[in-house]
Amino acid sequence: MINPIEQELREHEAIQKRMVAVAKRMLESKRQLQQEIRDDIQKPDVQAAINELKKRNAERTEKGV
Amino acid sequence: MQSVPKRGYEYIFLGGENNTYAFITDQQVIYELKFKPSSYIFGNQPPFTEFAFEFVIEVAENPLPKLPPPDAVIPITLVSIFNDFFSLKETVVVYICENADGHAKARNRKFTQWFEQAKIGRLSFVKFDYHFGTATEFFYTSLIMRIDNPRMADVITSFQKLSVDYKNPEK
Repeated sequence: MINPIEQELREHEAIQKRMVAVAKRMLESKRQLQQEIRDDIQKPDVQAAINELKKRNAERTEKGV
Repeated sequence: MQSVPKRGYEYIFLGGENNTYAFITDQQVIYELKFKPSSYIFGNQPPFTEFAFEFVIEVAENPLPKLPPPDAVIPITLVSIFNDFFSLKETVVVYICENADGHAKARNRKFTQWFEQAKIGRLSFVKFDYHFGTATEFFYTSLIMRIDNPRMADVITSFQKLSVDYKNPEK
């Protein structure tokens, strides 16, 4: 039979394991999103939207906004 | 003393399943932000799953020969985008710092600085940091919510437990 302190320690370790597992999955997901961002910029529709934004920014600068 | 910019860069919403936004700095550095729906974080259990998103901000294109320098307009831009994305007060965003190169702590510090600098938006946000790990790995995570999120306490409790039902990371 385990004592309460040991029980609490085991529960803490179990929670920590779950947290680490979730964190690892979050990191994996983040890396996929980062790759998606690098791929996005090559897409024609994204390029078109970015060019439009650049144009708007340039107009804004010209107007001194 | 450095003056605080009053407005951010103009941004665009590119949409998509991961809710992509983009903006361009004065130095022509293009940043993209994504808010990916993320049901697994809360163990695929309602009520938070439909409001949970993973957040990432990344340089999409950098024409400079070095890393982009600090830019005080970026935090203001971030808060504008957050204001736009957090239209539902139940929205919860989770952020994790990359730790593969050992610079997670520095990234966490920078993200926190951005967050602190940006506390002038239309909406008010709160950020809860959770730093944890093992002897070999350490993780810096944050939960971001609107201050008026009616489920804030439950979200925090659930995140702390990190989904008791979480078993298979592939699902």
